[in-house]
Amino acid sequence: MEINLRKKKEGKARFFKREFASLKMSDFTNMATELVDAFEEPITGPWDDDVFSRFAVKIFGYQYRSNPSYAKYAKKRGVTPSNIQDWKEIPPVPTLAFKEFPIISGELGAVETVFKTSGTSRGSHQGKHHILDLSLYRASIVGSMKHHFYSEQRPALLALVQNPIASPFSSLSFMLGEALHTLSMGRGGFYVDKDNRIQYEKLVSRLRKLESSKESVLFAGTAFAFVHWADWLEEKGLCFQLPKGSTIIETGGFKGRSRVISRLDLYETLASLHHIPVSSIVSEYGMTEMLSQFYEKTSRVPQTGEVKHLGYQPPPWLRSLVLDVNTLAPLPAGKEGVLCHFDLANLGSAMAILTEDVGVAFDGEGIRLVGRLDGSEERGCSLAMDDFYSNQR
Amino acid sequence: MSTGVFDAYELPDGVRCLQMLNSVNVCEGFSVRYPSLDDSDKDVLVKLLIEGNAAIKNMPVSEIIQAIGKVAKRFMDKDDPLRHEALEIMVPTAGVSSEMAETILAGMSADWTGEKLTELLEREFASPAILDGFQRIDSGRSQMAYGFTFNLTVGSGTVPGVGVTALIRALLLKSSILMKPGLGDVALPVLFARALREESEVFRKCLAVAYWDGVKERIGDKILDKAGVVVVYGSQETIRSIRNQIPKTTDLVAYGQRLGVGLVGREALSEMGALQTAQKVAMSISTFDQKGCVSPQVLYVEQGGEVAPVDWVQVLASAMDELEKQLPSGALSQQEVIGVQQLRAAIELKQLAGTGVLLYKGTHESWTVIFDPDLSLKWSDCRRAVYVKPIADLMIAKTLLADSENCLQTVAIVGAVSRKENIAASLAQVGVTRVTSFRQAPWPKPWWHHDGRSVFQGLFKLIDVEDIID
Repeated sequence: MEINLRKKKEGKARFFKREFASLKMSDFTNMATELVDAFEEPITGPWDDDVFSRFAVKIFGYQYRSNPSYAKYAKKRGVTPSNIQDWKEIPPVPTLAFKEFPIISGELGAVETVFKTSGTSRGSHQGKHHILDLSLYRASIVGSMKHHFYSEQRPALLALVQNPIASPFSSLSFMLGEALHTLSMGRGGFYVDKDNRIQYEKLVSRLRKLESSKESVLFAGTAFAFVHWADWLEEKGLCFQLPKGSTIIETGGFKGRSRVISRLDLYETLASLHHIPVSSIVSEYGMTEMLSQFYEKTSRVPQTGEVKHLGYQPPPWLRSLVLDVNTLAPLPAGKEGVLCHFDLANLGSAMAILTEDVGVAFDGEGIRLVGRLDGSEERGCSLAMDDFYSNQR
Repeated sequence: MSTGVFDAYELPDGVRCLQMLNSVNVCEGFSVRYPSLDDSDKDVLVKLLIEGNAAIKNMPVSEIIQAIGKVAKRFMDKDDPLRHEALEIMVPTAGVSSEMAETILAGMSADWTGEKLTELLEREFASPAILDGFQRIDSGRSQMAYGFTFNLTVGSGTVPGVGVTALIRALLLKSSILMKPGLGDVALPVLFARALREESEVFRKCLAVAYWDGVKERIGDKILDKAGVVVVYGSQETIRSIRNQIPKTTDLVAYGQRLGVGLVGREALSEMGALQTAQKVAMSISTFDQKGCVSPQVLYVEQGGEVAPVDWVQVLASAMDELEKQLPSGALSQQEVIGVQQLRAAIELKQLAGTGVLLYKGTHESWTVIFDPDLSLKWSDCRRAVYVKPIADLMIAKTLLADSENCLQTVAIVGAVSRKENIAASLAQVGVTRVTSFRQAPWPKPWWHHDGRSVFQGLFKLIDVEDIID
């Protein structure tokens, strides 16, 4: 079965009837293959709503049948494969559930790997994302990153996180490892050692080489790793002139956490230390519980010099709803609420994820993260400063 | 819902930094204003506090106690406008209900009276006069105790009143103090300082309270470099951040976040007593809306009583619900509402997975009780949310808590009277520093050993003058 990424001329009712008549748990592999194929298509823009909905509803049907507790949960909310009409109706699983017990749509024995959250923010326990098929994650990573960073060139990738061997449970390390291997063809490396220390001298030497050979760089790391890096460079009086086309990817680390440096200040500092425009710094928003990521570009307003974040853009297989905090009813664009993501790559766990993040949807695609409101200071055990410095996911 | 503005600062005479005021909305219609202190303001502030220290150093400790005690009585006096203002401001700033604000103010101010402070000093020092001058302590020595000239205290803002307690400790030791309270605890320190300044000129010189957003603005070297001791209440992140900012030679007294634990012995689960037990436990959980380091967040309930843990948890849920009517929880922030929804939905899914988990919840987001036979340690940082875990014997608790050694402190216990000391001894092995009843858990005595430390530890020095024998 093939779903074209562009609108398909087929009646909704007929489509659902046909899909669910043949759906079985063993369809996982076929569905995963189908999704991987779709993720590998060059990204030309968002998929039509019908196309996304067909995939999403089909995955919901699969997850309903292969995850009994989720089926009961959805049924209690009046949503079943036989009455669902639209992807927006799919009941989301809260991210906290990943900290409580395994969220698996399929066989536990088929789990290929487990990614863990850094996990001290809500209870002492770590969140775990059981992955049934890494090919979905790989395809999602490659599809997204190819579109954002590799469409015109093939930069080397320098990662300010531990490598995937030192940090096998980190989805971020895996992501950057995949990009390094598949997209940068092995050119680059990881520059945080197993003891979580930045390998400053090695990194300087590698950046200097790339500087002189004028090879563009994709320099990725957590926000707090970059804070440490920037502090060190300033202390040593060092700076770089990264080749044209280079990009810095800041992979979160401020979201909803107390901090002593603003994101804008960090961007200005990084831009100046690496001699790149602020618009060459991109923010990534992802989470262990989700196999796809958003990317946000930055621009400088010419008249005022003010730096603007342009909103987190999802790949076509990831959509979000902004929900009313109290009622969890969907809100229109421009209204602030709690974010709910629908990630088709999460076939083997839960596609619909209710986050703790507050955001606003733009009129078109994309979201803006708002974070915590004024006055809502963090309670409970907080992540330590140095935990930011390590991989968050 | 209260509306209005509260100016969250009380600074020594001579600090002129009030042209710039920042403001933060703590809830709809209510904001807290605070000064924008630049480096030169901070410089002036610290200089004034240090210069002003001579005044309090010359004040007999009995007079300090008397002045503080008078203010405490004002907070206890139902006709005093200071008490009314405190209650009114606590509701929006601390996010508690007016009933809870009254409970907290009554409980806290009872420990600030002259009688209690005198008792505190008598318990901590052989003679409180040691704070006024040298006292003969043995055949070869005289001794005096003196606080640091300048004490900087950073509050966490989770429990209203903790800031005042810290402030009083510094003043009893005759230290000048700059207190930066957390946003949830701005009302009482500011109003306390304001009232204290009316009691004596001395407190106009040695006492400053100022809130500012510690995330956006660092304390700054102008203050940190001059502090003899820095006291911090807060998360590991805050403590670590401040530790990294202060000079290596400056003393740091840090009180980190803690996990409160409750133990319910089988003796307390008789058919007759189960309800009373549940009421005591519910009160202990709900006081401060469970935001205190002393608040139980996970309960281990012993099997073998007349009422099984799985049944008792329903009694506890009813008690939580009843208490919600008498002592309602405060208004929740948007993030807190999200947290409760996450918790309840996650537990509902876990329940549907056939794990034996049971979920009980109040209307809106008021309280949540989770019965979870999985003994791995779990807790929630939502308000009035507790995990209840059945165990065969309370002695097992030690093993279950072993991984949390660094964040344990108070364990409340009911039943198991004859076993209490054995259980306490086992808990000491995992870092517990206080075993108490559920009733007393939220209200430690003024002389309690917070995190195992004596009250004034790290806040003063002793000077010995030895007899000269040539």
